[in-house]
Amino acid sequence: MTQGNRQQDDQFLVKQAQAGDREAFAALAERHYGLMFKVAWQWCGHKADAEDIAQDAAIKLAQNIRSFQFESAFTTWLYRLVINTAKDYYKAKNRRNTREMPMFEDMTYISAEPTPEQKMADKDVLQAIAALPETLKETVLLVCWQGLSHKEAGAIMDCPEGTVSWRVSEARKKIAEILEMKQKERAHG
Amino acid sequence: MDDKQLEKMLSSLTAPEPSENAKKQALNSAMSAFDEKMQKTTQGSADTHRQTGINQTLSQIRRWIMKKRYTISGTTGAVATCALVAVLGAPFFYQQVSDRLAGPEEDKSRVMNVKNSDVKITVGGVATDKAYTDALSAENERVLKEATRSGSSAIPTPLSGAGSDSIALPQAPQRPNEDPLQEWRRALDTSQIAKPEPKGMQDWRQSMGGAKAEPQRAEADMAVAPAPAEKKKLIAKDRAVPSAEGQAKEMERIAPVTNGLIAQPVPVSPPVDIIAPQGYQDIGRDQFQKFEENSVKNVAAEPVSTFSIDVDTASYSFARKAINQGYLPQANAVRIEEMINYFDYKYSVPEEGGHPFQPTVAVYDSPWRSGTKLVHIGIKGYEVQKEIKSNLVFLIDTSGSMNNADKLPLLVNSFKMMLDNLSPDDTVGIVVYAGSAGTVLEPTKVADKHKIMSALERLSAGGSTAGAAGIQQAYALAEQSFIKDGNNRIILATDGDFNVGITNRDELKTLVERKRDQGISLSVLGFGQGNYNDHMMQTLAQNGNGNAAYIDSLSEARKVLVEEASSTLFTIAKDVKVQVEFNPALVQEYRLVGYETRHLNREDFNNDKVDAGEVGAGHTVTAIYEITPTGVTPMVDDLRYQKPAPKAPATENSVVAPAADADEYAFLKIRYKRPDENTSILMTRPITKADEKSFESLSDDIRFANAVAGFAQLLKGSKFTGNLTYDQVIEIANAARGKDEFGYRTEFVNLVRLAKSAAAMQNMR
Repeated sequence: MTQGNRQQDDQFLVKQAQAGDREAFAALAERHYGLMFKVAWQWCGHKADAEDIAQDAAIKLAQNIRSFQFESAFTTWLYRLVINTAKDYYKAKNRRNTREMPMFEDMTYISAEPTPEQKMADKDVLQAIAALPETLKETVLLVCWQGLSHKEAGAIMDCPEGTVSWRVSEARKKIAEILEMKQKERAHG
Repeated sequence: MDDKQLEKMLSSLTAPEPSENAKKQALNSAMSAFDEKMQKTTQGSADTHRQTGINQTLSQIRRWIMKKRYTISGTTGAVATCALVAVLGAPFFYQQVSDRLAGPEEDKSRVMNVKNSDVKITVGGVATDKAYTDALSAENERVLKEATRSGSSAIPTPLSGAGSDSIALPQAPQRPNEDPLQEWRRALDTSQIAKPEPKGMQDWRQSMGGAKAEPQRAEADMAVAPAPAEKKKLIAKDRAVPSAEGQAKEMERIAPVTNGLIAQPVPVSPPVDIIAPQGYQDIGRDQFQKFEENSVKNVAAEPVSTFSIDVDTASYSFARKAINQGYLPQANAVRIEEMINYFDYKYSVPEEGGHPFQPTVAVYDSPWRSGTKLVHIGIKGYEVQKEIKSNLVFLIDTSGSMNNADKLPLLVNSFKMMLDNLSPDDTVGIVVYAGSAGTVLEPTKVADKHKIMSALERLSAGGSTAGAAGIQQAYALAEQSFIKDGNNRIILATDGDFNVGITNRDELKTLVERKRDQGISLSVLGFGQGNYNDHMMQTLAQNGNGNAAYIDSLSEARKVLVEEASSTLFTIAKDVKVQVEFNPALVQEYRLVGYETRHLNREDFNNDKVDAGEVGAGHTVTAIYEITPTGVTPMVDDLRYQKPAPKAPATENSVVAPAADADEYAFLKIRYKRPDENTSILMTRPITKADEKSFESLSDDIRFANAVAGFAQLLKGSKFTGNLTYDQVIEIANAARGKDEFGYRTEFVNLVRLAKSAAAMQNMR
């Protein structure tokens, strides 16, 4: 199935859902649940939280489906909905502070299982990303992880392309700093 | 870190699979949200997508074609895929489309794209989308146009420049036909008409504004909403009320709070009382037991007063929640003794081994009304030093109504906090009840805290309430890990209703009583508002040797479950009854402040079969009597045809008061049972003139208790508060704050201020 087809399907399903078609909405939510969960997980690094956020996002999708105006791809709109949901989730519960569970314990690899060292290094990177300020974190998730263009990411975050580019490089710098600090900490014991 | 390295690494790993359950739940909630949304927007709305006429037919045809195509050709084309989903539902489609490793195909292709090229130009860029959209709209213009218009135009989409947060919460399409405030206004009006202003409020206002014909104005005001201009005048008039210093300021301060509560946009134009918060409204279906305030009793006719002690505090926190939202709690929600007993008073504590508590008594001139005196009786249980092992079962309501920030999440956090306070050897089990009841966690040692925590975190709300089944399971669990001589207790957390199963209050009560006799107590924690069944909670807790507390915030949870854990958890005396016999030689009349729902008959005092309240370790209990001494004009006139009060009632076999008793106001008797015994022990003490002190020389604690009692009566609209005003309460409380380690007393003072504003608002309507 090509991307074009998927988009066409989205368009069609959204329209139907906007018109009150229950089945269309069910299909739409069903086919995008995976994406919603994934974005949520990338944001928070906890499976359970990500499931909660995905659920909240699914509800918001239902409540706000009619405000989607076909000015972007549906998924572009959805990214933003999920990320905002995630932000709200932590804002509302202030869970960031209460949560002591280590992040990204349950990541899975696309290719073969890496060595434990590699895994730890990867986790360091993920945690560094998680420690970024929200806008930078969002940028990294969208551009580096989801693989969106700067333009797309700009559309989602509502800022010019140039800002996205700047944020990406800013985020890289910060990540490098954090990783360096971590290594130093480890070296010192 | 190298530019490509990050991308490469990130693209090599992905999210775990969400659990099927979570997915199902998410999709189900989304569907109900969708249904709700669609239902709402199709009712009486002008520009919605109600499917009518040709539109509907078209969509039916389309659907039919979709299905047909699927059955006939089974193509993998786009439309067929939709149909597949629609017809076969979730799992099948998911299997087909999702690539286990990379998630949905689209994402995978993007990820690959990034991997293989240097620059981040992706296939699915916006330009493509736009072109695609255009093509599509050409093809299907009419439908698209309609759909595009459908979203509320005020809500920006990603491309049209939205505030960073706004898209997460776009509004529903507006409903121009219906003023969103109309319904609310209507509801408000009805509740106002139905609820005449409490007498106390009228008194208060009169005392504030002089004894003008104000009440009449208020009534007219309540019955018919006046025209805006008129209303403004009235408001202005009220603002000018003398001596209510800073009232206008407070009004402004409270206004935003109330607006928040209304949760409706408040446009400038409608003639609604924008600045005025609501007076008391019946919020949802909170249920409180109705009761009449204790009245003045003539000592000659009824010299003995008997009641059961009450260590609950639920009433205070419930009232606090209401007041913080800008309205006064309903009168039945105010139980004066619970308000007083919310606070900890430093009464003297006996040595361990003797009586579990000893009474602290003071007599002083009432600041509420000249001529009368107040008799203050306080007891404080000793603190438990030795460790008692606890076997706790959390019985948690996870019905749909608990799905609210101030319910289930608060509850979970509260219990987590409590865990820190238990010793590793204690056990905790968890039973939930909703549509069906289930054991979530077998009794687990607190040492294994992580396991308990994660069980708590997994809780989610949904379904109706099968409280009775839950309670039975909880008892079974508690029995399973029963600790002899330990603290075996079920802690029920709910917003109220047991509406499935044993709904009969008495039946449940019997169950709780029976288990109590087997050594398992029940404590009740109330959460949330709107469906709070206070009466049921009280009944259960009172019959289960437990206590009821209302949790409105995390700090309240801390107070009840951590700071007061020992008193909440360890009963040191049970069936505690108080009896006071007044001496007609010195006292003409008396009135017990509060304890209306704890009234006992005189003969119940010596009857050990009659259940009464429990005192936990460190618990304080306070009772206040207002007495009219002889020689002062009584509140109730003497009877013309009866002989003046006989010195000793004929039925009394006691000796006629001898000279030694001449300075005794009353005789205090307290009966209690030790937790594991069934025979009561009697304590007695005369209340004499020697106990009399001037108000100023009283301890902070007693004066503060007086302020709380005064406040509670004001809230209740009591008939007996005389000239008492909120300002006076504030003054007394402020002077009696003492050390106030946790800030509860300071909070109280603020609460009185808020209540004062809320009352002023209420009077304005």
